[in-house]
This record gives sequence, C-alpha cells and structure tokens, in this order.
Amino acid sequence: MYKNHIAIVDLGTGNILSISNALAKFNQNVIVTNNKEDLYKVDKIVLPGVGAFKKAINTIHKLNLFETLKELHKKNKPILGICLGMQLLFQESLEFGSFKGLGFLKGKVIRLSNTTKTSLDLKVPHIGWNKIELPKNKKKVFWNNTILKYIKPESYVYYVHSYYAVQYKEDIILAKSFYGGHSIAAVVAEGNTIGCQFHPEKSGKVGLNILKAFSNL
Amino acid sequence: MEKKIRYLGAYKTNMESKDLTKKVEKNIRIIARLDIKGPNLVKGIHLEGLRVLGSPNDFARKYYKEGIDEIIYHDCVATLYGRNSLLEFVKKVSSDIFVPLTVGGGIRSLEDANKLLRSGADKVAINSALIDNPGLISQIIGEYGSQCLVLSVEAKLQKVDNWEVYTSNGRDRTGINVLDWIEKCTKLGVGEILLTSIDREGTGKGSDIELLKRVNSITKIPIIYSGGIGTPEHFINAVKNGGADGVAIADMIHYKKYNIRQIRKAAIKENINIREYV
Repeated sequence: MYKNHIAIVDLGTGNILSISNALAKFNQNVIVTNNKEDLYKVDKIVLPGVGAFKKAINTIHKLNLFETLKELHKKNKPILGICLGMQLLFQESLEFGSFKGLGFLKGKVIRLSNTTKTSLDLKVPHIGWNKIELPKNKKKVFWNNTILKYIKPESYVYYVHSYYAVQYKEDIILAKSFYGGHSIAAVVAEGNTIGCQFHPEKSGKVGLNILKAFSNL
Repeated sequence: MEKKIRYLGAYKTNMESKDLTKKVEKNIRIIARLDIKGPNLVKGIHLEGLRVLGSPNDFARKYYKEGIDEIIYHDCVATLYGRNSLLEFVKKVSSDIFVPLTVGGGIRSLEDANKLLRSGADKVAINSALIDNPGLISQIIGEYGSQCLVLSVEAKLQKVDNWEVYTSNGRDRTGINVLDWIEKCTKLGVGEILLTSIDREGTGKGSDIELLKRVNSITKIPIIYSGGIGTPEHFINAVKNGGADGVAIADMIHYKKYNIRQIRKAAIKENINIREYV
C-alpha cells in the first residue's frame, strides 16, 4: 500500500478537479480512478460529489466497485463521501424513486421540504453558506481527532443539495447545520467512514482545513 | 387544512420579506460576475460596448482572498462565435480558488457542459441553447443533477409588467415572455436562475426590482440577480425587497468602488443573513 495516496472515485459525475486540486495541496498523491485495483493500493478514498443518486450507484455497480468498496469499508479504510458521495454511504435514497445505496451507514436520504418548519416557503435546492454546529450538549473537544479538528464551531461551509439524510443513528453526527428549521446532518462519521453533506472543496479556508485533517488521518 | 397553511406561508413570504431570511436560515450570497471576452475581463453597458479590465483569473483570485461567496465566469462573445473559450481559464483557476464557480456562455450541448464540469466548473449557466433545445435540460440534470444547471435569463422590459427573453448577450430577441419561460424551465428541472436585467446591466443604478419580485413570486428555486448593482444599498434592496437569494456584482468591485467586505458589513447591519468571513 502506498502512503499518502488518495483515490478519488471517478463516477463520471460533475466537478472532481477541485477536490483533487485541494487534496494535492496537502502533499497527497491524488489518483482519479474508477479501477478497483487502485482502490486497494491507496490508503484513503474519496467518493465525490455531484449528480443524481441513481446514476452514481448504477455506475458503481457497472464498474464492479460495489464489492470492492464494501470490502475496504470492512477493513476500515478511510472513506470520505462528499455531498452525493455521502448520501451513497447510506442504505437508501428516495431521489426519483427508491434506490439502494452502499449501506455503510444506517439511514436514508430524502428530499428537502419546500416549506420551513413554520410553513414558510423554502427554496430547494438549498444553495449557499451555512454554519456547522456541534451536536447538542457537545463541546469543541468532540471534534478532536476528527476531520473537524482544525475547525471552529459555527464556521461557514458551502452547500448545494436537494436531498438530506434522515433516520440515522444519532451517534454518527459530528456536526449539524440548519436550513428552514430542518436539521441537516452536516458531517457524519462511523469508524473511518466519513461523510460531508456540504462541499469542503468549495468552502474556502474552512473546507481546505477539513481536507487537510482528512489527509492527515 | 394543509393547503390553507401553505397558502398562508406563501402569503407571509410576500408580506414579511424583510424578516424572511432570518426565519428560514437562508444565507444570501455575494457573487462576483466576470464577463470575459477572449483573454480579458471586460465590462460593458447594457451588455454592449465592452471595456477591457485585465485577466479574469487575477480578479477571481483576488475576490477569493477577499471572501467572495461564489464566482460566475461568463463568456460574453461565445454564442456569437459558437463556442465557450473559458476551458483553459477554468482549469487554471480551479487550483487556486475554492469557492463555487459557475461558467456560462456558448454552452450548446451535454458534451460542452461535460467539458466545463470536468475542468473545475461546478455549474453551467445556459441561455440560448435551452431556448433552441429545451430537451437539453433533462439531459444535463439526468447526468449531473439539477444543482449543476443554472438557467441564464437575459430580460428586457417591453411594457409594464412584461419582459422579453433576449439571447447572445442582449443582442437577439426571442419573443418569449420571461415569466412564462422561467415557469417552463423550472418545471423541467433547472436548479437555479441567473436573472440578468439588460436594462440595468452596467448602469450602476440599482436592480430592476419589479422584475425580480415577479420572478421570485413564481419560483421556488434560488435566484441570482444580476444587473445595475452599483452600491451596497442596491445589493440590500435586491435582497430585502426583491427576494434575491444571491446577487451578482461586477463594476462596483472591478472598478474598486467598493470591496466585498464593505458589502458584507452593510448587509449585516441591515440584518441580512450572510456568511461571516474573517
């Protein structure tokens, strides 16, 4: 296995150059690949970010990556899912139908409501900068030894999504955000399986510090 | 019963727009718009009469450092020449700026969109190609999701409460009503709207607030307003009275009349929810 090698899984979805450029800043050798041999060789994996759930999970199956990812997950290899990549980690998504995800995390992915908790109109997709907050009753130390270790609570990160995770186990939540009164699972982690609903590669310095922490895991 | 509550919700939206952003935890975006011709950032009035300002990537890097929330690259002669020439710019700048980048101008096909999105663009903004081929919407969103597709609308006032869609940087008329067009494209699944007022573009005299209000009243997806923003007050007005989710600024920062921090400060003072940047 190569040290400091990160594979970005190329699912043929949108922008992956930014994430690759960002990780390269932290002395990581970045491989953009959809070859399963590569995934065994590297020491960390990023499942990137944009597109439709159905297409992404179908691509994973087509490329025969499903079993590979499952096996690497079992071996506790660090995997960071970003935005759609995070949603893929869950059991199921209800985006344009019902589709099975990788199932590494318990929970499912549903569409954001077009109204707030108090019945005001709410724009969806949710696009913009929101604060990430500590879960209730947690202190900053909660983020020590996680990918948020360099981040101050209430820092702003960039979101662009129409779907979000629900029915997860509460103890996977590292950070939350709020949009229209809806609680968004911002960062989740279980072992070395990590997900970010926002885009760290698009969240300025804050996002770069998250990717730095992931690089140093 | 539920219908009634929803109606009240919508009603409240219009009546209490001043406090809306607070209630929905929605943060307004300050977006730098860079109109590009060949190798240069340019600026014109009413999208015509272009003046050269310098390298777009230098401007983008500067705005990133100053805390811009998002950047738009717009190739303003692309449709004329039938191609988008921003690929190389986008590739280069994406190793230096880590905020969202939208690229527009001359994108004709899924393949064009694909090239830009693989070169560091996060979203593509499309105008005339969607008019010629609305089917392109489902092609792009099926591949990349609706958040990748920004409907670019160039609107020009014809008579009271009636705006027409223009293309090719305000050069060509389409005969299509702006509100009808936006309604149609929203149904087809575009993720966001870049609404440019040709009447206000480059004037620095403030937004076309009536246009913005009307568009906001018929759509549930985010709107980026562009055109005529010359002062922080114009920015605030577009948000508070027009309901813009993001406001594109150009001249006022390109010509260093104001900087991004000043806009942010003014917005916070007016109680607008906005990303805090230190």
